[in-house]
Amino acid sequence: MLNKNKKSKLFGRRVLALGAIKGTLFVTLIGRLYYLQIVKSKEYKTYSDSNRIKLALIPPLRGQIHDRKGNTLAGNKNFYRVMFDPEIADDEEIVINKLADVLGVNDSKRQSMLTKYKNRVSRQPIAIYEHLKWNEVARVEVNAPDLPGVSIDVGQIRDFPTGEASSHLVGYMGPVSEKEITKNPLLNHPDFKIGRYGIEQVMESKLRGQAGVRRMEVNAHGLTIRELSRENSVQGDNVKLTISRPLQEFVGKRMQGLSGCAIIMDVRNGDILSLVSTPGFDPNEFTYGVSHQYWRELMENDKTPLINKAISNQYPPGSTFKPIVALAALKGGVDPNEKINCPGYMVLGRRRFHCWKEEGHGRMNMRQAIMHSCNTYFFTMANRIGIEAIDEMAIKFGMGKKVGIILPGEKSGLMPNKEWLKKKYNATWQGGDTLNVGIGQGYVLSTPLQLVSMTAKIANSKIITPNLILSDEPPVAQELDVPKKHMEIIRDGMRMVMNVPGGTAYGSRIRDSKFQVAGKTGTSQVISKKGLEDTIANMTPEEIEKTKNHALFIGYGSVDDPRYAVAVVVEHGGGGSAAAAPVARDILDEARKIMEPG
Amino acid sequence: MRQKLFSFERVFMLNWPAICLMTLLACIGFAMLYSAAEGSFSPWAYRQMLRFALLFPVMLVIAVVDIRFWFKSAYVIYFLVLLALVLTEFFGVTAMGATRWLRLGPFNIQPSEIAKVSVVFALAHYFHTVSSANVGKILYLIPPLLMVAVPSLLIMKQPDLGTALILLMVAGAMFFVSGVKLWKFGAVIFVGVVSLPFVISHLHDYQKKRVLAFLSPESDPMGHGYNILQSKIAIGSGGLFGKGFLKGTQSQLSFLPEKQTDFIFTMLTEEFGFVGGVVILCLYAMLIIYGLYVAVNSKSHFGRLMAVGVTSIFFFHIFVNVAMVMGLIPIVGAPLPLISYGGTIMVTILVAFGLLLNANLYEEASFGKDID
Repeated sequence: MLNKNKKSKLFGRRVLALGAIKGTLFVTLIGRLYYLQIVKSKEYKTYSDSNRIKLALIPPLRGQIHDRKGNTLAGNKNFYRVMFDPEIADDEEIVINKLADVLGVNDSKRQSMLTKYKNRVSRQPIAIYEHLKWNEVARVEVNAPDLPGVSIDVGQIRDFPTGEASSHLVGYMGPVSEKEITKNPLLNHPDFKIGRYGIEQVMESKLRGQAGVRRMEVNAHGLTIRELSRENSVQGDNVKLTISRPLQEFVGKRMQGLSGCAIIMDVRNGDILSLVSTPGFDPNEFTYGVSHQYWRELMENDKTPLINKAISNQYPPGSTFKPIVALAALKGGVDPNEKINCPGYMVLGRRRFHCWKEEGHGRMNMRQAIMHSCNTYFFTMANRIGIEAIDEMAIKFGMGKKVGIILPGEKSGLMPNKEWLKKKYNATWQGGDTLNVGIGQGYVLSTPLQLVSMTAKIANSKIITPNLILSDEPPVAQELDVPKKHMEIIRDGMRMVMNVPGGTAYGSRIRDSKFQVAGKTGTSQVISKKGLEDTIANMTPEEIEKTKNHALFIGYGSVDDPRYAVAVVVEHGGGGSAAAAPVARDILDEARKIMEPG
Repeated sequence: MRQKLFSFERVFMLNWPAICLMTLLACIGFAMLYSAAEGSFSPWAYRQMLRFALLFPVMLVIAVVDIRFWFKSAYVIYFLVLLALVLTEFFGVTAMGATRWLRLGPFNIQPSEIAKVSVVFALAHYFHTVSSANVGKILYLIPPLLMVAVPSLLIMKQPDLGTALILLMVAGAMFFVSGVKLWKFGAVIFVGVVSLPFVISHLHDYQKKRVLAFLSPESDPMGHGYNILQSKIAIGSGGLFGKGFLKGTQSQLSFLPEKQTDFIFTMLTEEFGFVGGVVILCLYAMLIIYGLYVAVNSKSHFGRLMAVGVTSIFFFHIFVNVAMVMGLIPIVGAPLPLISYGGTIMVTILVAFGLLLNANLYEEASFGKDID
């Protein structure tokens, strides 16, 4: 019994000890629970939320770009893409291959689809094929039962209904580059495109709008369970341009096949009604992710489809500059009725300066000289009044400095003078330099935009700034600081260019007494005649084509009540009267029909 | 005094407060399984309730059968289970890389679970018959050590590390209360530590990864540390009062794997917070205290040791499970008694609890060579 007691006692002690051990372990558990749930609770709550809450941006709908009447120049349209959810499909690669069969894509597209699947980073569905056509959407939908995990998703994409015609004006949309991805998470959104070039670029902040945010609860597989809250996106503002879409499209068509540009503006308020540079590019191609081949075609095209010739190319204004020289002469006290004899050239020092008409124009007054574009007359005037006087007048008409249009890439042209030549080439200004400027050649350069702006000033004697954004406010226009009667003389000369037999653009006149057009042709030399004769024998036809002069034309209508000013440049078109004037005539005529119907 | 093997009246003499406590815990389990299925009785809660309802009478029968019957059958039961373990080794059903299940008619049973109870039987019977003087002799410790070692090795080979470890700890507790000298435990622990590198080299890859993940869960959050980290996030984000029933975001959004089995405590504390966790642990503590109370009050050594063994099965399951989900020990895979979903563990726990009630009912009985 004693032993039995001993066994019981030992057992009792050991059970107590065991109980104590177990008790201690229980307290440890409670301590750990306390540490996790009370001490560290906040930290783990944060983890828990970041686990379950996913933010998704709702890209805003981009504002539209309208013409002056509300026609769309850049809008948004639906596009369809195939989304693939690898979580649903059992054998992903088989499904993708089947999808490629259904779409009928070639092998490289098939490979890129497989690559997209293999390189995916999240468990979210991936956009495996984009920009489906309607019949492709239908094919995928019909085959849906055989394609587990495949669905069609509708997105928004930029649409440019006028295509090439407005490409330089409206611009295009492109993906965001690495450098641009800043703290704005919207720029990181795979669907997000940024405005490149043209209005899309310069009005980006206005057009973009504000992204919305969806807070979604997701499970461990990243699949959305429900939406917790939503802050809707704010659509971007529409932008209304001064452009007339029908006119823009007409000009685009009229200029098709030519390399050049045309600008037409309303001289009363500066509204640019159409601005076309050809050849252009299809901005829709860029939105779809420009293909390597299309990009190379654009880059290798020597007609520079990626340059907005209307504002970024600088041409010697040629004879279109003569009205300015005439005004400078008038200011310098020249009698417009004084007749200068043109024997076909003018001699300065030991050099002969040729008129374009070898046999000469005979005796010409100022009006006649403008009408016939007589070089000798303007050589004489330039020589008489000097470069400073021409310079002063040209600057009044906006030459040599940017017009200030909102489009990117505007050039400032060049109005040379003695200081400039000294500084630039460390050369002394010669009398011959002045003569060349007198007929718009030599160092003087202007953009077509400057030319149309100059023409508008000639048409209504007012300082008007061209603008592209439509505004209800009445334009602020200062009177041009040039005597009215001087202006009337050159306007009359420009009227005669088109409406008197023998005028350089008589062939392009409008036979409507209510809409008489005044204008001035111009030819800007690409290569000097003398230099050309030496090399022409060894040139291919394409190269000869490139040596042809640029054809220029400026004009306005009507003569009695000026409303439209136009500038047209046809590169390598030959003479202004043959290549540019008919285009300008058609544009002015169409502008009147569109702007003043009935 | 010859008693009937079974008497219905004895059911009323059982410790009903303890049965109520146990049922309360089971009910909490049903609620958690309902929540784990995102507010649905299927697939888990319903089946768990059905199992409990079927096994409850079995538990009562085990509880009222004369303790002497259990004493006499102890070795028979032990060898039957050992046989089942061996059969599992050869004919078992393999799932998830482990061969733990034995098909028995319509049921898949896991002999390794039952083995815990059978080892308790065998050890209780053995130490009942050994005098306190002989317990001190090493020779007398060889049979019980073999009784533990054979099933342990078979279970480890399946491989089921968690169950094997729990079995060893339960056995250790029984050796301890039987009066084995403390230095002998020290020696065993020393041998264990020394042989650890050898053991690790024989661990399966997934077991090694679990140990590594335990040591540094944050280093590889999407890999094997994922479970521990997500579990800690779930528990921690529960805070003082929890997120509310059915509102545990971690569990409901399936960030938590196996939330209905091994990680059910995580879900419970996420939804009911620190308060809920402490309440559950206190309920378990009361169950353990009841078990130890039975052990101390039993007159027969068999009854005492059975009570200690059963209590230890409970305790180590609870401790390993809760410590594991809180990141205190590596994930070894041990269900939480009465709350985790699972048929075999339910059988083990209710059978074991029946034996505890049995020891309580027959605490005055004395029998066999209960000498010295």
